[in-house]
Amino acid sequence: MLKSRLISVARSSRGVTRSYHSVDHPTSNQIVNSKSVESKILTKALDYIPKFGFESICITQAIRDMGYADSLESSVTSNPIGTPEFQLMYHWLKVQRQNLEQLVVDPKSEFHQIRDEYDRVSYLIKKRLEFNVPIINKLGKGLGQLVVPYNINRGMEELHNLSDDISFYAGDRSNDFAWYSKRLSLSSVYVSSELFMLQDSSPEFKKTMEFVDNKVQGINDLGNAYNNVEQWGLFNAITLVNLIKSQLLRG
Amino acid sequence: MWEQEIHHHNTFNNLQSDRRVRPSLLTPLWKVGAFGMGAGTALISKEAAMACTVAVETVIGGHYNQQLRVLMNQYNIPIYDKETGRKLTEKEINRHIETSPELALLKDTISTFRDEELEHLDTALEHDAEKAVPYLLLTELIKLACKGAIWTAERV
Repeated sequence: MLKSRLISVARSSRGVTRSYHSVDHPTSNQIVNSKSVESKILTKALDYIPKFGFESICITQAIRDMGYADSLESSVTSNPIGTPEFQLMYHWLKVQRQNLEQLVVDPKSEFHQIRDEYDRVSYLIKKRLEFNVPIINKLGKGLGQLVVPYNINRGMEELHNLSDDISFYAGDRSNDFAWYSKRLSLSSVYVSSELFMLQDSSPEFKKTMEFVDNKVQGINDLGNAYNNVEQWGLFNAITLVNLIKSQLLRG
Repeated sequence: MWEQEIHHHNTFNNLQSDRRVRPSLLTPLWKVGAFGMGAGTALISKEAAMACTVAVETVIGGHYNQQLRVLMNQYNIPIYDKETGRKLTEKEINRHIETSPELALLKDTISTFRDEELEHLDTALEHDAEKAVPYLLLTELIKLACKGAIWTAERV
């Protein structure tokens, strides 16, 4: 009884476990497992999204293209992660996150010309949003999959992974509570920019890109404001102590 | 002592950022607690501050040892032969198989830091730590608080 209870606690607390990013074993950090059959099928199915949207017909088409038997579709439909439509969306998010990583890893990328942490953040968010352009008409329905109560955990996890990646590549070195506030604010910037993008009709999504710049600038300003207030508070606290000391000495 | 502690602090902070490990959710609490403990015992007396050092370094030494034990045992995960996939027995595991440079460096860092912390423990004992007035009560309470903090920080 106690043991089963402990196991259930251990399972439910998996969300707070800490992962370790190995430097010597880069293959252990791969986001998409390119070797499993399911992920090959799903990756192929992504090609059909501009045509059909996030629908299970993409998977059927992919299986036929790759010359597998139709019955293989059950390897996707029986997956406990969720419905085929959700799995497509989930896989798409992972593949795009991997594309973003490759962009950063590439030594020739213009990303390495940017020095400021917040400029890097807004560059990365804009790049990630550009990956949405080919499927922008189908994206709304796909995003809808992520907020279904059954899927919301995985959706949020993927969003957190994205903002964690972005702040890591941008050069975030914080190891106190700022770690959390940065990632949370990046997630909220990303979600609001993506929703803005769905409604944006300006050429080449210029307004969305401006929106991202403004939002990231806002985070930067907020961080500066917090630091300034902290400094001001500390200064006043020290002054207060000294004032009391001097008054006590006077008697 | 001061430079060494700063060096330990910076080394582990950098490792935490490089390896993308999430900091504890209660970091602000640990900061306030550590400052409060140091300032509180220093207010009582110099000996009490030294007793506090003794308690903290004892717990830290033990914690480093625990970490080393886990790393040396390869996280208790069995090692398999690369070609045949057969599980290796303890005798077949040689240094070449078990050491990845990354983990070897981590082990070295931890064991150096442990030795340095235990030197601090000796320094504190030389500076009359045991003359602090309820010495046992003080050190045991602080040890308990540190162990509780480590236990919580590992989980949250």
